[in-house]
Amino acid sequence: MSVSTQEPVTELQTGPSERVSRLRERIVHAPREACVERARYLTESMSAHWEEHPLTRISKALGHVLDKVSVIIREDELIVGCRTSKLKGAPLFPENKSRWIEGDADSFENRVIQKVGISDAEARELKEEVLPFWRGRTVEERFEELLPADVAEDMDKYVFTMILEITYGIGHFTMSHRRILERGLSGVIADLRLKQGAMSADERAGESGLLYDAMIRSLTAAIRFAHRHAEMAEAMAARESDPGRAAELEEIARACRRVPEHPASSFHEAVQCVYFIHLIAQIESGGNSISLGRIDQTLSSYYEADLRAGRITPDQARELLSLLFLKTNEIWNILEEAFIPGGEGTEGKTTQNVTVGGMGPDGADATCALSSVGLDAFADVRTVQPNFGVRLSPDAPEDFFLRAIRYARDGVPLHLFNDEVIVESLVDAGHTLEDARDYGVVGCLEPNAQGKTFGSTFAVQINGVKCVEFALSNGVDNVFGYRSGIESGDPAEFTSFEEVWGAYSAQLSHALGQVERGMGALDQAIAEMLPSPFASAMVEGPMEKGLDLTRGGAIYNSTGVQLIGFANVVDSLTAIEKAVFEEKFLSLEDLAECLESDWEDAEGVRSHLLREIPKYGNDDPEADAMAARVLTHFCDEVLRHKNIRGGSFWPGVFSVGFHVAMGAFAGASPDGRRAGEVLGNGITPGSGCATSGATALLNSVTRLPVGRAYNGTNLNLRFNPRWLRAEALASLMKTYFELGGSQVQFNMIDTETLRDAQRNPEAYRDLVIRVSGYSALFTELSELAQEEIISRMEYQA
Amino acid sequence: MGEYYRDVDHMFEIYGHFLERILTHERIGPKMSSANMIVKFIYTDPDCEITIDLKNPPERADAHGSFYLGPCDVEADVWSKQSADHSHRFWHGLENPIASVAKGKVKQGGNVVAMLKLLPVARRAFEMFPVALRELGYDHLVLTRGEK
Repeated sequence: MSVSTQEPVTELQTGPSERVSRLRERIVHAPREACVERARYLTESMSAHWEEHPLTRISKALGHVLDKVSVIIREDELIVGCRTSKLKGAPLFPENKSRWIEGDADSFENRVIQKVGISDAEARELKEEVLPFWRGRTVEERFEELLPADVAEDMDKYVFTMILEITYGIGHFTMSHRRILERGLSGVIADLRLKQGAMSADERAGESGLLYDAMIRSLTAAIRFAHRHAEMAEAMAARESDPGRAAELEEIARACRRVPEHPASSFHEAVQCVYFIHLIAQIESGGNSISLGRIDQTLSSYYEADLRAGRITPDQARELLSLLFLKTNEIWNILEEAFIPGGEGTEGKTTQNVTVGGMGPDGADATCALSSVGLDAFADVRTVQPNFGVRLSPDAPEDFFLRAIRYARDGVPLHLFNDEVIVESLVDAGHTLEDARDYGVVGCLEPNAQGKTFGSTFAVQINGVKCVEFALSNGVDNVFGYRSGIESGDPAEFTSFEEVWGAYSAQLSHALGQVERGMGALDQAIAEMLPSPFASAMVEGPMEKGLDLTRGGAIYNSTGVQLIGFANVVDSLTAIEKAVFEEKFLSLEDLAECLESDWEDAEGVRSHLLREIPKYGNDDPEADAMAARVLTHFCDEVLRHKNIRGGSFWPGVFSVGFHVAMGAFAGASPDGRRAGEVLGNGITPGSGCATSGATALLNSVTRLPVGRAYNGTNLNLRFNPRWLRAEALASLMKTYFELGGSQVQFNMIDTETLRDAQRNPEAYRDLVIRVSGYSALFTELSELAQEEIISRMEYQA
Repeated sequence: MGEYYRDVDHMFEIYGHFLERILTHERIGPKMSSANMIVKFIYTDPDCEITIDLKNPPERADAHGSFYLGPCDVEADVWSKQSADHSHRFWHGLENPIASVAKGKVKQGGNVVAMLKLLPVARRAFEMFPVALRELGYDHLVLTRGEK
């Protein structure tokens, strides 16, 4: 990075437009409500066509939904399109899993976390007209039929979770927006008709033929959906007394008549097109975290053309991007209450990632004028969505880098990605160099080829600390007392650290084996029951292969497996090696007893392990070597497994909210942690453990082979902004990336402010903080999650 | 009526004794009180409710919390609804709490995340429940794995 940290950081051009400020206020303070419309129309169509092929019936159902859902254009809007009739409305996806809705709908409004309003009429309609149809017809029920009994039993032990438990489908992909902008859906339909024309009658009647039919049906419905918006805007313009707003509505109508049906011819149309596609993909399926990806690269040519022609100013482009970003805050899903602890926050894990900056497919830095405009636009909204990232290539322009740093210093909830490390990692994972360079980021922070990947990046979370626990208890769960792991040997008989390691490895390996079988059943259930023809037409690969995304149609197919509690695994294994086998401070048997009793009468032992044994994150060679060993081993183990879509399992280390939830289900650990306490998040050291300062921490982190973790890693840093100069942060980040850091995100907020927010939540309604890979409103987190944020080390620089 | 409890009085006798034992237990009691919340358990077959107050000062000096058999005025932070039989098996450590919630055998509401704070006492409480049953002479209600 060509950055001089001696020069003062450029002052920022701040300030959202009045329109953006008004719309931001409106969405931030909107009540969260359930909306039955999608479920109603989907069920109407599915019940009429249930006997038809899944590709046919789902595409007909999408068409019916898009023809029937409310079309609403709200005051001030320039970018339009909604999933529901409510401003902050969540649709329901009963086709994925309906049992929980039957159980939870009555208590939506009484929840403490993620409270959801629902009208009596809608609740009644759900219970009496929608949900009865789905009994015995959901993905969840098919999954349960396919799931081996022993895997089903292991799923309930909270050693690992699989995606359907916590969301409603796979999701987690970016789309090829550039192709749609250039060709329009009509161009894609023409391509599909050519494909059909080259098929025999038998092929037309087969899976590929049905897929092409379903794609065309879905894309045609998408065009009708846009036209409904055009008609609405035209009608509103005719009634509008304010000439300025009437002109805006006419422009909206014109844009919706043109896109996504035809190629975009202006920046406004391009933004509207991207949002329609983004929106419809999230109406089609309940899969979360469908992401926008490289928004600047997608839209830059339209911006430049409009700029040259004098059709737009940078401020107007900034406003349109802000409006796009605000619209993403309307997209959220209701979580099943039982799994809220795994990913707290208002948005129900609909983490829509977007990036600016970074290199192009040719390797040259592709940061452009729109990259900075996008950065400014996000700084104007500073909302939970989108999950905003800045890609930095080695040749990132200095002013762009410093602009991002300055915003980060000012509390804009963004994260930074190091292209050099990530591109090398993706090539190692099997991407072509060009595709690796053109990576988009999905969900929390998962990089993969933009618009070419179906990565199921959030598929699995594995509790690594539980594997350590089982290794020291011969498979017995210390929280509940019953057997949950495999028998990996009596720890009383272990005579070396390597035997402990072997037991840990065996437990992890067993869990991963179960995960592969479980995910095989889940992927098969989704592919059988809920293909995604619309999304399949938006990603490169399915059209060429004649194969739906869910069956492996994409060019790249992976399955993400995250290690939860990384720092605790590292520190626990270091503690065992040092205290048991080197210092002989205590026997392994005695340690196992301490853990089983949650340190009863063993405070001295706990204190020694907690304070006297080196901890990861302090630039300590021994602890850091263990960290590298743990990560390498995890990656090796995960990479041995394949999915049924023709891809590999990809390792990742980011925890979403599972460091809280999985910590609650984990017994005491040898690092001195008590039973139930939160785990370290991502690759961040354990709370209170990295006491040697930010530089030491970054030295430790950059000793990790993060490039092997293809699915991404997350480092959280919290600074007290009062003591942090932007120049110092720039210097720190420059060094971090030069040493091989992959990703970092910040919370620039002091403990005093967070405590005040706990006491006076109404005064901090829009306080956005970074959890682990995603953002959330601080005041809407549980006390447990709030305390975890507060307990993170607060650095000064 | 369920399999294990004759009626509400029978249930209150057993749970009253069990809760007294764990709330006065020198190991379990302090850990429970550190959860700092009020939990209401709502049972079916027989239909009744029991509230455990781990937030307000205990009514008994030697206890680390209070409990109320039947309706009470204490406002719960979190509630959990299940059949009395399921609860009986749960306190023997024979019902997986995740599976119970996921499969709808247990319904929870309120500040469900706070319930996680009680997990560290689960194993000790499971050990205590059969002890409490035997102390009351209900040896025949003690379950073993494979018996549920």
